[in-house]
Amino acid sequence: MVGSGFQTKSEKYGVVDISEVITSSDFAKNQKENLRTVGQTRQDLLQFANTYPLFTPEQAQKFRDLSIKPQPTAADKAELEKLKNDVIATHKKFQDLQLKANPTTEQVTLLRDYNERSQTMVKTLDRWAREFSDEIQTLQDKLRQETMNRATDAVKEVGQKQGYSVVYMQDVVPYAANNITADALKAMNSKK
Amino acid sequence: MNKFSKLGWIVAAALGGIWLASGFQDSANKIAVVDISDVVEKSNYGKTNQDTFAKMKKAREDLLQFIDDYRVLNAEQAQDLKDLSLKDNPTAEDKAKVDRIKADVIASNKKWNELSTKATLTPEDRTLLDDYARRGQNMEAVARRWFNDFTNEMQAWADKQKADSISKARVAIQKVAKAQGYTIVFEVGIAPYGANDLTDASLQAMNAGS
Repeated sequence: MVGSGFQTKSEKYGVVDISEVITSSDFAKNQKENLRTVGQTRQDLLQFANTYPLFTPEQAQKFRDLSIKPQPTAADKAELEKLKNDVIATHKKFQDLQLKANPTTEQVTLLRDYNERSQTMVKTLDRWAREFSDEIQTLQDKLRQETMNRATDAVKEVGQKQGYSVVYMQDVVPYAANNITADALKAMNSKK
Repeated sequence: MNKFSKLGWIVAAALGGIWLASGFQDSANKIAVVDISDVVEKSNYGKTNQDTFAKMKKAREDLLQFIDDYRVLNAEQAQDLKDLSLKDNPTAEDKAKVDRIKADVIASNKKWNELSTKATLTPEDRTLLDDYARRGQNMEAVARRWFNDFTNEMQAWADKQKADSISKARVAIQKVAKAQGYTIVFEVGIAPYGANDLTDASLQAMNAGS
């Protein structure tokens, strides 16, 4: 009794479930959605270019730039649509030429050009896939770190305001009379 | 009965002693937290390691990218390019040699493209074309092997630096905690908040020690 009296007076311990703070926070939910959008955009881009690989290098660069633009304007969207239609038309032309029994010299030259574009695009797509994968990994790491930092800041804020000596992770201290998880979540959500 | 009640008093007194002891111990204990990752990452030692890692990574990525773009390197060119590109402190002469090798390889690649689209080939053209194709195939295998080698090398380097950095950070934390009379210091992975936080002081101690 005497001991716990001294302890209560001088020290205040709490626990927090930081995973719960992170996963339930508005910030983490938004970041997860952003990450999903970034991944989907790049996946769609690669899928299209893989289906219709007859881009010129200039078209390929423009296609990439416009496709991954974070907030494309109406003009950007129209330009991208036109570019895609051009590439689809080239692809159709390529298929028609391949079926020709006796192509003319010009047609043979065009076929060769299309083949070169296709080969170049295979390498380009390989590089893009690697770059996108790195980009998404970096973004994921950054968002994870940012979310963790925000959650830790929220725990610190609550811990300090409520006069705790130490706040432990619930993983290592499964129970404490004082649990600040809900307060920390509230503090994290209050920051925009 | 008397004996039991006497024993009861002894037990109660003993427990009381423990409570009293823990009460005194608690008020004497001094607890703190520290973010060891923060100490490592923000330390001069950690920053230097991060820069070195980024440079190593870039040098290896650039080399692999060059091979991927221009595959017609012969074995000797490939080895020289690797050795010189990954040299820690290349001399002006090394850099000039890298540029020369790259220019030669780019020229060979251009020639290969020209020959590939040539309608009629001379026997010499055909021999050269075959040689380029062989080099291209060979370089594909070399690039795969190097990629694996580089990944393992970078991983091993990062693991070693991480262990060294943590070890240095621990020494700094111990020094600060001892000087300030702490009983126990928890890592933020165990206790994300503590009224006493030794992160900044430990960072200063680590930088002062390096």
